Amino acid sequence: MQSLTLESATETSPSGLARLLPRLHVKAFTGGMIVIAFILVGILGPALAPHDPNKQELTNMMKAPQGVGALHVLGTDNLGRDIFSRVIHGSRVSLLIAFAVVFVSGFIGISLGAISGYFGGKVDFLIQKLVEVIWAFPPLLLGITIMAFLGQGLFNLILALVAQRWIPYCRVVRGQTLSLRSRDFVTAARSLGSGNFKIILRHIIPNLIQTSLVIGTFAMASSIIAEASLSFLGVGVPPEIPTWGTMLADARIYISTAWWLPLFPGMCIFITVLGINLLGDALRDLLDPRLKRTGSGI
Amino acid sequence: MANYLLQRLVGTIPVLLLISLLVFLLIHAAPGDPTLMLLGEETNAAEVAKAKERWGLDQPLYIQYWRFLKSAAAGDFGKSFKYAEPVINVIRARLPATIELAIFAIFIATVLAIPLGVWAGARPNSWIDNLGTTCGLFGISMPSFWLAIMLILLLAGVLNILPTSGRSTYGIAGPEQTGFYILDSVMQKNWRAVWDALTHLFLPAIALGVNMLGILMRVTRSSILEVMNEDYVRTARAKGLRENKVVWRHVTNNALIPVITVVGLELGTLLSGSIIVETVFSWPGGGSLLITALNARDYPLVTGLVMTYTMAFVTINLIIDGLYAVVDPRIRY
Repeated sequence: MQSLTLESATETSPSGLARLLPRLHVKAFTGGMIVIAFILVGILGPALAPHDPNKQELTNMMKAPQGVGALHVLGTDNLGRDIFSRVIHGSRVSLLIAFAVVFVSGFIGISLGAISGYFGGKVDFLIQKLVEVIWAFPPLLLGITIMAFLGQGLFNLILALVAQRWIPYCRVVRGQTLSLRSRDFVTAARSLGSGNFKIILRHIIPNLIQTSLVIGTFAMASSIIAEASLSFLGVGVPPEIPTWGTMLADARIYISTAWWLPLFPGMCIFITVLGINLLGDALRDLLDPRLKRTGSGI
Repeated sequence: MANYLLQRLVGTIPVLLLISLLVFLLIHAAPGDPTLMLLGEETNAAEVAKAKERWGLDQPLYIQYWRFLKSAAAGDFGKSFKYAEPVINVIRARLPATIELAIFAIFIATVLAIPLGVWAGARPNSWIDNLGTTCGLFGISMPSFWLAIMLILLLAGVLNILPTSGRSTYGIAGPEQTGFYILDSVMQKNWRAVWDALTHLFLPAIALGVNMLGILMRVTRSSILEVMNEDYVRTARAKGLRENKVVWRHVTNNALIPVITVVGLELGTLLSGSIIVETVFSWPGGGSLLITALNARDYPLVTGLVMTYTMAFVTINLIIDGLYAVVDPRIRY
């Protein structure tokens, strides 16, 4: 029903590329720095956080941000928990979810897409029907439904996000496999006696990595937002794990009294997603300008 | 053309069937026994068995699915646990609010995104292009519910100029006719109520529309960039047309065709976004209803809403496909 329309490369003339380069550097640099910072903070989280993110200090609640060097740099929330520490710990969940979702959905999507495009026929029909059915759900709705019926939890959350995010890989990979399978090097491999699965693994999939990388960055951005949305709605991770989404959910009732509660976790989501999108844009311009038309990529 | 649409219409039936199966299986995979949930902890085996028989839960799964399908086809998703009313009535009462909000969000997004995208695409690497590209990137990276919260914080909390919850101020709107407040108020010539409804719509519509704005702007820009290289654009320039006329007449008309598809695609994101934005703004639409239903474990209502939203999404995309052929005479199905 909906297709990732591939457009012809628009900015390939030498002068076009020259005009593109400075902007490409800015994008790749800014995006790269943000993503590296995100990964480092996520991994080093507990070492960087000055406080236990769940420690309640009821004598010290609702403190406004106190600035660098003070006890509570970004203030405390309604239970006296340190916002700075919670924001740092929140990045761990986002990081874990983002990478888990991208790798699992990438694995499923690329495998099914390659199988679908390579073999065609009944297998292709079945896989494409599945794609069509899942793609018919409005994006977050399937996630909400799965989480509502399976219950909160990290594993369920990854499952709920993967459920739809393998689709873009599958669609694009299928299209590319269709054209790859009739190429000379595939025919050559076949005439040398390679089996179907060896051809897919050795000759088809390596050619799909670049495009998949681009899709992966956008899938990563969208899973971070989706995780935060689901946690915000109360159907994401269990409340005892600090995440940016649950922090925003907690902050909702205090909007009018404590601006710092919703500001910082939301800012983290925004900047992280912005960084990933910048990097994704740069990667796409560099590796696969044909994907441009898809807008956000997912 | 009609043939193609009919074919597509028939093609969506198996998809909808499979969706209903998926939703049905999800309900049955849910942990916890709905009878226990409804009857409470202190029941005996006989009562549970009786309740199971009454709700048909004692039948094999395929018979239950068949019954679910039969009543769902007639628009009957059972009675809501929470509201003790047929699910379809509960949904019908809430849907106009969501549609009104979605229409306004799309309106704001397109009205801003298309001119910005056209300007940006027509002058690549100019300041307007840089501004537009940055806006586009910010738009797609913005979590709509955070924007919603920050808008409330800023415009309502600090400046206190706009209402931040609900659809209207109590007592201003006249009796409901269609459920679309603006339409109702215009028909009743109650201009104060129109203005009131608009002010209530403004913030949620911005929060909801910002993602679509970003995506539309980016798609418009790249589509314009592509069309600018076409031969007929060079011809138009060669015959001495002013650049403005070239861009707005010859380039934009052709570049906007793919934009229509993206609007259709993004409607799905918009629908899911509305679930959260409605919750933040206490907007009494289908999205906030879904969250209420989820928290109350109101399974019939959840199922009904999921099916309604999905069917709406499938139908809209069908319409967009038809529209595509209307705006681009080169497309023949």
